[in-house]
Amino acid sequence: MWSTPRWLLVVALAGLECACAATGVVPGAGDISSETVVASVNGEPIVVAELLIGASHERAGVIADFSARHGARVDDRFWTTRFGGERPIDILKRRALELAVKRKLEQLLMKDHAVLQDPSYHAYLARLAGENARRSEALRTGQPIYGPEQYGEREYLEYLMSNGVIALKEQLPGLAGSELELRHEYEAVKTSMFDRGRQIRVEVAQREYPAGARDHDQAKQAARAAMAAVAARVRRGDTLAAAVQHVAGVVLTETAFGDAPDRAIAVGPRDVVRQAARSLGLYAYSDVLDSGQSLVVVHCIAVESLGYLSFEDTRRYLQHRHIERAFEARVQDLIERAAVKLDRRVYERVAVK
Amino acid sequence: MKRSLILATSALCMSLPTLASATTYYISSHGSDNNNGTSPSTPLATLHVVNSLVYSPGDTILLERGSVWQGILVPCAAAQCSGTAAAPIKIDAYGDLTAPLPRIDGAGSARATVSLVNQSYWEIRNLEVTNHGPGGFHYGGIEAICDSTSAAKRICHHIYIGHNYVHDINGVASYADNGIWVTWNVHNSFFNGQRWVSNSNYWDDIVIEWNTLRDVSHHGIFASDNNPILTSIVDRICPTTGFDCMTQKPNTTGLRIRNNTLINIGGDGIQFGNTDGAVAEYNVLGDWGLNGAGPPAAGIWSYAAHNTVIQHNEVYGAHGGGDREAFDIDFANISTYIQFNYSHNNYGGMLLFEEPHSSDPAATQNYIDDAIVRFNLSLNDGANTAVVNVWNGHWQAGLNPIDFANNSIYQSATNYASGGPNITDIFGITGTRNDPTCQSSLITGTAWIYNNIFVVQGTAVYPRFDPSTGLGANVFHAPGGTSCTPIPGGQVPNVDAGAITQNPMFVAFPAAPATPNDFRLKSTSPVLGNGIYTPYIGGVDYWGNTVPPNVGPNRGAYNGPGL
Repeated sequence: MWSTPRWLLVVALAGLECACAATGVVPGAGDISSETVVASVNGEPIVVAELLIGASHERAGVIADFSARHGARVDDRFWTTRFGGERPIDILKRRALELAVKRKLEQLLMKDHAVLQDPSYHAYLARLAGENARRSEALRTGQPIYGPEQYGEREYLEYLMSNGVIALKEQLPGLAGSELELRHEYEAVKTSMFDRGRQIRVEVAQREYPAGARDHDQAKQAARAAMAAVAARVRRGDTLAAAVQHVAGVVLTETAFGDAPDRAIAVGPRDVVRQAARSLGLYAYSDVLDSGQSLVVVHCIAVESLGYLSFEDTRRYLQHRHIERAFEARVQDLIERAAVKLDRRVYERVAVK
Repeated sequence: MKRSLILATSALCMSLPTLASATTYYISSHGSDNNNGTSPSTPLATLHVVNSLVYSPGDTILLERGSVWQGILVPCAAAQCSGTAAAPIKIDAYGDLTAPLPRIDGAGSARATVSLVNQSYWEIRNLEVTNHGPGGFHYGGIEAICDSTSAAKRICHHIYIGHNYVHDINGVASYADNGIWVTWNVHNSFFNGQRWVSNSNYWDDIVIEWNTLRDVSHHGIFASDNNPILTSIVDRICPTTGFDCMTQKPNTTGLRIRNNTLINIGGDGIQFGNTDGAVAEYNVLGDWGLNGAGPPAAGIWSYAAHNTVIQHNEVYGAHGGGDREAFDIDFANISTYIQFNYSHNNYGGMLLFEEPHSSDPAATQNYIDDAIVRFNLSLNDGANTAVVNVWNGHWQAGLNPIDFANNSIYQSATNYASGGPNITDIFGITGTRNDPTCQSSLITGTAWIYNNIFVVQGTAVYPRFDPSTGLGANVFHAPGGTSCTPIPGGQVPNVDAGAITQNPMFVAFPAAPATPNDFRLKSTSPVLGNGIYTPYIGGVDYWGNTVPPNVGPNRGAYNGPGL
């Protein structure tokens, strides 16, 4: 758990102190515009537009929080109503600032590593204008464009930031884990992440019926009667193998399944058996199941662990994960140590809802 | 309060019966349900009333920009009304163009914030949609379902979902949690034990374009059949039911997914299946596959689809987890063309080629046939295993093997996910690294691999290829050395007689490519005009330069003059 940066506590206080003014001025009105500086991080300005983009990111989460904790619903009064001593508008604004600070620090990091020349929002807007001009020209001349006709401020920033972060992960020294670190991480997570699961061996008693048969069709009723007879013999103590010997048309097969998660959950004859196998305990029997083409009884006869994926097989995943986490930790450290100066006058008057 | 609302709603329903002529309804969160709703000055107020009205062909439902609602939009939920081809029913925005889009926050109150069930000829534009709930449940953004609970199959026509902003869909990592979901239910035919496609419901004409999606827990855009559980997908219905995907065509047609922007997606970016003639193009997908513990995921992919084109997409930044390739040619695809795409920094690679497991007794019913992967760019894909992953180490059993041609693949020395010296497998067997001693790592089956440029600023390790795989005029350049390169003298059973190992001289050289244009070739390039022409490489390159017939093209994705 990260400790709360000191500057964030100050912002929280600001939110409480200025409760009556939090929904005041819409950007563009009076002396506040989208390019008005609302804060600075390590000397680099954050403008109102960046705060608003942060708010658009956090808005749904704040609504969900207040909805879950207080049963609040969004209406005209929602943002300025106090729920449990808190106003959604203050929380939203604080989270928006938090996100804007994080992004600005990432941009400063990009500047330090020549991924980004100028972290100012003004420079970003110029870049956005250039990109949109390029798109307009492409459309005018019949050239393809990827994504939107015109990027909005928020969308293009997302695009640039996500690519910039990738570049940082490539270039920042010290993010990769050592052999020893990776081995430690492997041991720490192998149970939860690299368990190959179990192999479950089952025997399956099966009586087929014609494809498309309905429940009241004679062929399906005959199959149901046969499988009921098998189930009854098993209940009386017969093994499944012995039971099928006494019921015409029922065949016994043996098969095995892993229980690692599937790419997708399919539902078909084989999958009915597989799903039953996964849910049965050792030596347990299923009820009579309808696979769509046959009626089956499944008996679990063996369960064995398949162990874990090896360290070598997971090394790249671990390294990738290590780098991503190390990067997040680096940014979090920057947040902790950031010198954030807030222009309360502007901050309090910006409407972010 | 509730009572008066119900009364107001009832009165409105009586005063606004289904109209023969088209009506435009205006909705504003500052309106009143006592208004008639038929002019901007007398807008309705609540989604509840909007949902209770019955709409006629040509009707338009306009939501005011700047308005916000918490709830769900399910127009004609009971009546399931439809438009017509000439007069679709439209949902759109009105009001001050500088104001934000009208926003509907589902807040986890339903599986989808905007939902149409069995409604044809609808168009949904310019909405902002969220569904951020307490978590642990299935949440989606916009959905259109073609369902039937009777034995009769249903055919749904024309759904247009465009210019919407869908975000903060925080469901779980499952196939029911999608930003935009157009689906058709196959359960009737399936559970009757009958063949699947011939009796299933299906759509005709689905357009999903110009939408922006971010922060979605699983699929960004999903267009596919589903099964009754709604948490599953009949992904492998071919092997499991015995249905022969090779001889019967999927029914859903006219699917076009284009110019969408998707960022921060938990699982797959764009997935579709059981379609004929689908096109996914000009989409941008970034920062995806975020939920590493969720199901395996791919960027843009299809399964059991015929005549699919995936082109001009940018897919980047897949995070660690199962699969995580930019593109995937999955089970039972026939005629899949993946071309002119730019992928970079995807953890799982550029491409997954997923034939059914060779031990699958029904493998011959769902194999891949006629796949072409051409003129694509790949930069630093494949942190996990290989850039091109061949499922189970087998190309395919179809009559028309894959053509993997004129692709430019570059692995820089700073591919962060390797965390050290860049040792890259360009081709590999899914889930394993190639054997640098060239003894194992055999990929069997047939593929045609030609005119590609493979550059690894590090060490490249290749698998062994089956003798039935054809290699020609590829560039294998790896200053750090190569293992098992299929060139004359290489240690593999088949060779690429026309291969070279020289630097292909991308225009960015000596820098690494950082953008698509950097993959063009210098005039000093040794690969200009000495590739192999086949009709399977088509007529244009990544940049739209002509690839004339019967003339040796450049190697790689650029066929213009040297620069």
